[in-house]
Amino acid sequence: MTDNREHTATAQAAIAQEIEADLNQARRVAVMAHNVVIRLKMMGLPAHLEDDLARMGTDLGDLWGAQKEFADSLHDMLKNAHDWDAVGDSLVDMRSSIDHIAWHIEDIREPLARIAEYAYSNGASGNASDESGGE
Amino acid sequence: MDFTSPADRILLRTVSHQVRRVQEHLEAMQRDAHGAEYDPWKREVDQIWKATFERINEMSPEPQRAALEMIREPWMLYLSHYAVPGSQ
Repeated sequence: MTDNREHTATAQAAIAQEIEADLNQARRVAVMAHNVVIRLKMMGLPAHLEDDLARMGTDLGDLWGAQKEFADSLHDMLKNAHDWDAVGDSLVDMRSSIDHIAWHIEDIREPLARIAEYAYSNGASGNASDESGGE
Repeated sequence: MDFTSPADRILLRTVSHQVRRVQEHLEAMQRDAHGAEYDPWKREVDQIWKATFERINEMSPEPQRAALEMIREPWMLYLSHYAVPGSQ
């Protein structure tokens, strides 16, 4: 029992040490999300779509970051996994990225659709009567 | 000898990724503390914590103890700085 507990604690410490937060990448993701928000605000997106814009911006930023994380895990498995433990680690890492991506795919659908509708209705070929492109 | 079951190893590693993801999202929240993106980041962090506790709940006792120890500090930090999940 004690051996089991010690082993689990040791394994947990090893995992925690291996899986460290990448704060530089987190900042790059935040900048990407912010750039999406600023870009569409500057183009005159109306206030009633601001919540959708914030949600879409963070979803896009995180999807951008998550696809890199997934690609890194896949690459790591192909290049560095020489035993079954390492294969298992890589697969769980990929599963974690896939779950993260799946959450954002679901979350982004509605706000993206509403903003895309607004974009088309205000584009040159849209139905908008206001040629300025805003409200 | 490895005492931890494959299912528990998956859960432990998944929880470790979730804790990492929380830390990374808190970095984004701090960057946009007064910005439009703060609420969406926080909503996602709350969801990650919820999923983390669900994974821990699926573990057998020893890995569960280790996982609870793993999340103790970041969870307390989150509660003290960002209030309870779901609040604004």
